Amino acid sequence: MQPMPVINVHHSLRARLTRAAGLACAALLLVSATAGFVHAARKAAPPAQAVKEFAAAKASGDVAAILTLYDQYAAQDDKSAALAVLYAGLGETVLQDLDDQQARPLLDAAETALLNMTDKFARKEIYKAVRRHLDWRVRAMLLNVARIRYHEEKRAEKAILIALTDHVDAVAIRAVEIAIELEIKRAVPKLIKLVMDKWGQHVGVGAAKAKVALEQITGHTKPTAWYEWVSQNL
Amino acid sequence: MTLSLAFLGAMALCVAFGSSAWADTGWFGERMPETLITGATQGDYVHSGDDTAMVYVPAGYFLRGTTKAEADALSRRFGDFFMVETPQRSIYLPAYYIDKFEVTNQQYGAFLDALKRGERHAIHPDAPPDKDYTPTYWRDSRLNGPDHPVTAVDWYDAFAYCRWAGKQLPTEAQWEKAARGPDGLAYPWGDTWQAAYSNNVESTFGHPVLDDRQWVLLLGNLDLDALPVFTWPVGSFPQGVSPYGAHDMGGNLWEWARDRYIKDYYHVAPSHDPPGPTASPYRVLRGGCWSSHRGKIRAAYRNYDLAADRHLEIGFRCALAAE
Repeated sequence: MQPMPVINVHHSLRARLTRAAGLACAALLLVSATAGFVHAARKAAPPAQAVKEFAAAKASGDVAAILTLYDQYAAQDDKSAALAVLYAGLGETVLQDLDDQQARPLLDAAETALLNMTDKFARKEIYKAVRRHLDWRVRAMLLNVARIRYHEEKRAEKAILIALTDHVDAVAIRAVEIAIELEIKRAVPKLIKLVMDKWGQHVGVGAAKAKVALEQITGHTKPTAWYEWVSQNL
Repeated sequence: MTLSLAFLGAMALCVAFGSSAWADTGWFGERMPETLITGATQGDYVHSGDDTAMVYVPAGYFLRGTTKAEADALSRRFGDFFMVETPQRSIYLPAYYIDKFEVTNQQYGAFLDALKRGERHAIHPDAPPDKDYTPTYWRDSRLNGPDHPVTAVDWYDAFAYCRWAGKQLPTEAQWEKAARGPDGLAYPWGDTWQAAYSNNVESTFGHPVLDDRQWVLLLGNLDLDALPVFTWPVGSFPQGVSPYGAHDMGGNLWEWARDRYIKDYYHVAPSHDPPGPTASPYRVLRGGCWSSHRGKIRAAYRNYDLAADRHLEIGFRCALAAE
């Protein structure tokens, strides 16, 4: 007699279908997001063989063996070789218990090896590691790779710009020094932000260096002139 | 007779082992928290959480901030950084204890060991879940001496350490009162600048730094790798001690405070135990450091940084509310 229950059934069915579709979409999104995450994590993971080789060299205390591995992977010159050097050769197992003086020869040798790599995908991983490597000493070293390649690769500049806001001051300061040396114009907006906002009332060396960088790149000492310079030059 | 003998015996034991072994009354007649005992030196307390020396700051008013005239004068010389210290006001604080020295590498190392054992109860709920609590320059021999203040710690590191030790970071007001006493001294040791009384940019580089421009050019062109000394062992400048007995409150390292930072807070803060603003991404830094000029070593100077940032100029000390 009453049409309402019929309509309700239809509505209910539609609602159930809609809910089911929604759940399916959510599940799909979740699956693809998880897959994406796993993929992203996998992209940064070094080859298992490299992890074993570097761990064995480290365990034997043979520094020369580690240096040789850097060179071998550099000669291989592809994406997985770059990942091997970055995340196995310069990973926690190798560097964690070394003080800065002990780590220096390894970092220097790795820098040379990475500079020798010319493969496009290998270089891409090197620049990505400026942002994502967990050891700040490695991030600072990689900035030097970017500095040397600055004039040949756009990605090198991008890596330097990202490092300006690294939460470890040693890395950010190194990036500021490189911005001064190479007079990187595109660094100016970030440098202004560092001086005016992030480093507050001048925490110290980082802020002073950022200010000097702004003065050298823009030719001005006052914040108003820096903003003016940005509007005219970028 | 028996009772008298027992009393005398107890007195003799106290003299033999020091009053600190049993006292629950502090040097100033106050009732101490259970985690404190009086130390061997008059006015010192020792906290059981991390075996640090603490000093007592009695309840009462203190003069916080800077007058507008003074801030204007400072701004002409050192840049536009001083109006945030205005207005100058009397602020009341309940009694508290504060670490006599900045937290050292050795003390922080014990906290790292506790973390390795899985003691993670002290970690701030907002700290990044995968955070590594090892300070940035932990392996740099210029900075990691056991009696040097731990540096390049972020606010979450400092918060967790103090909570782990059974204490708290000082509020901004607690920090300032401990540094300048009740009457608003310009520096912990008095109103006159003394370069040799703290680890500051002038003692680090051996010459006066008289304005902001000179400071920017000096530090802006500095080769950090070539600098042999940054921090000094805590307590290296006894002439710079504050009216309440705290050391290195001017210089050595900037120190994190508990409060969030907004520049106009002094205009709206309550005059009784101000808790700090409720919203800001920044946390307060106080005290200046080895690279700070005399304008920033002032006890009233307010600085700030993002909670997750680490600098080789930043350390901390802890505080404890009195009963």
